Amino acid sequence: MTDADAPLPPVPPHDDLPPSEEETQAANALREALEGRRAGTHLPEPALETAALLRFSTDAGQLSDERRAALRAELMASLPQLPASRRTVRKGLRHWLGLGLTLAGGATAVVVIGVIGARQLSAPAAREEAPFSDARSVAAAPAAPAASAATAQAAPSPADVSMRQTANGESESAKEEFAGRSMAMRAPSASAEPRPARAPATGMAARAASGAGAPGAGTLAARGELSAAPAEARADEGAGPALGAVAARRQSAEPEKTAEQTAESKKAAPPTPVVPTEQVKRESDKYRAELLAELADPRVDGAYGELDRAQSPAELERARERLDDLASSSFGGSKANAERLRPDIYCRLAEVALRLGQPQAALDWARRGLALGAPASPFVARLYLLEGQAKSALGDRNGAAKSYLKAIEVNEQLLDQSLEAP
Amino acid sequence: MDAELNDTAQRLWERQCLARALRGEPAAFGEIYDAYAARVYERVLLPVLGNAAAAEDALAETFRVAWQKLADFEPGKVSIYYWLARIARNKALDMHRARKVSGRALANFGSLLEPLCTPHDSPEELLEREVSRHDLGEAVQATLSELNERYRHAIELRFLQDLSRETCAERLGVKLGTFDVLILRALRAFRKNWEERLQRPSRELALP
Repeated sequence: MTDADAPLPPVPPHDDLPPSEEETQAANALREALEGRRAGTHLPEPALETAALLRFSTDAGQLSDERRAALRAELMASLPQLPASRRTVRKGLRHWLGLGLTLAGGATAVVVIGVIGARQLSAPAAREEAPFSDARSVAAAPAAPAASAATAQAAPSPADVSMRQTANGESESAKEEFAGRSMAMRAPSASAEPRPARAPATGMAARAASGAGAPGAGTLAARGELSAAPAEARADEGAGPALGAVAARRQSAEPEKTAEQTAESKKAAPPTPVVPTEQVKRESDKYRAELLAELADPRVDGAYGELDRAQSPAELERARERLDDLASSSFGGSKANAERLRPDIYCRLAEVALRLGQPQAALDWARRGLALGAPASPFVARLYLLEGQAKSALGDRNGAAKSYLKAIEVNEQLLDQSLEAP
Repeated sequence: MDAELNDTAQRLWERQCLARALRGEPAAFGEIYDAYAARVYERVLLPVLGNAAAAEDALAETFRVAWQKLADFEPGKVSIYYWLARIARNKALDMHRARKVSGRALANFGSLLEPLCTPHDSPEELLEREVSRHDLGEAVQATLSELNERYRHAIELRFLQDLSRETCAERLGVKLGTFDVLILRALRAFRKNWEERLQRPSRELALP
C-alpha cells in the first residue's frame, strides 16, 4: 500500500461544514487564478499569495537553465539598435583618450630614456641645471637608481603585472585599462617575477601639457592635447621646463636627425601602455606642479627641491626632516591651497622613507597622510599607492594589492569627476 | 578582503561589459544577462508577481528596457544588478497596476518571505528578497506539519508535487468542486500558521 492509497483521517468537524456562497466563489476564483485564467473579483488574494509562496519554495521558484537560455535567445533576437547617446560619446572620448595616452607614453618613453642616458653621462652638471620639478619627477620615477631599486625588487607592484598584460598591445578605453590591470593585480604570484623596464616618461609628458583647475579637470585637457600632439612637439613647447631643456640638449647633440628618422623611431618604438599605477603617479605629479605654482612658497619649494636633489641617505634624511617640519606647520599664502598640498607632503615623506629602505616608516607616513581625511585627490591616490608599495616591501602582498586597488579606484573616481564636469 | 576584491573585480568586469555593450556589442549585454537574470527573476520578480509566466515576461522586458537605457546607467560603487533590480521592480509594479486590464492573477508574497530574508546592509538590497532555499523549505515543512493531515496532503499534492486538480481530487477521494474548497481552506490555514510562526513583519513592499 502506497502513501497515496492510505486512507486519510476524517476532516475535522468544522471543515465538514458545507461552503458558504462566498467561500464557493472564492474557491472558484482561486481555481481560475491557479490555472492561469482570468480570476474575477472574488479572488482571495491571501490564499493566492500563499499558493505562490508554496510554489516558490519548490524548484519552480527558480529560473531553470533551459528557460534562461530560451529567454536569452528571444531577448537577444529582439534587441533594437542601441541609440546613440552622451554615454556613447563619453565612452568614445575615453577610448580616444586612452589610445592617445598610450601612443604619447610610448613616444615620450623614447625621449626620456635618452634623457636618462644623457643625465647619467653628465649627472652633476645636469642636476645643477635642471629645475627641481624635473629632478622630482625623475626621483619619483621607478627607474631611479639605488634606493628605489631595493623597493622595486620586493614590491609586488601592480605595474609589473599590468605591464605584462598590456604586452597584448590592446589599448581600449582608459576605463578598460583600469579594469584589466586591476583584475590582473589579483594574481599576486605574478609580482614575484623580475621587474620589467617601465616608461617613466608619461608623467612628464602629462605635466608638460598640464592645464589649470580642479584635480582631474586639467587632466582631460591634458589628455586631449596629448592625444593630438607628437612627443617632440610637446617637449619643445616646454610647459615642463626640464623636459624642454632636455629636449633642447638632445636636439643640439643630434642636429642631423631628420623628420623621417624621427618618424621611423616612433614607428619602431612599441606603444607603451598606460599602467594604472603610473597614471596615479603622473596625475599626482601634475597636480603637485600646479599647486606648487599656485602656492609659490619658498619653504615648500626649498624642502621639495632639497628632496629632489638628495642623492645620499644623509641628504635624504635632511630633506625628510625639512618635510617633517613642513607637515606640522602652516605654509602657503592660501590656507585652502596649503590644505590641498598637505597630503602630498606625506607622500613625499613616504617616498623618502622608501628610498631610504624604511618601508615601515613609509607605511606610517602614508597612513598618516590618509588619516588627514582629505577629499579625493591625486595625492590621496598616491598615498594609497605608496601604502601599497610599503606593504609590499614588508611582505604583505594582499594588503598591497588592496591598497593598489584603492589607489586606482580613487584615480578612476577623479577621472569620472573630470569627465562629468561641465 | 577577498569579498572586497571580488566586489571590485565584479564592478570592473561590469564596466568592461558596459563599455563593450555601449559600443554596440549585444554579446556583452548577454554576459550581463547571464550573470544576473536568474537573480532578478528569483529575488525581485517572482516574489512580487507570484506568477512564473508573468515573471518571465517582466524579466525579458526588464532587460529590453535596460538595453535601451544602458547609456543612462552611471557606474558607481553599486553593481549594475541593483539598477536592473530597480527596473524589474518597476516593471512588476506596472504589471500589478495593469492586472485589471490584463486579467492576470498576480500575487505579491514578498511579505511572507520577509521574516526569512537575509538582513539588508544597504538600501539597494531592499529591492530584493534573498532567502535561503533551505530555510524556506524547512519553514514550509514545519508549517505544514502543524496542519491537519488532509490539508497538508492537499497542499503537498497540488503545490509541492504540482499535480493537476483532477489527480489531486482523485487521490483525496473528493469531487473537483470539493477539492477547490478544500484547497482554499488548506491555504488559509497554512497562511494563518505561517504568520503565527514567523511573526508577520510590519514592513511590506508598497503596492498600488
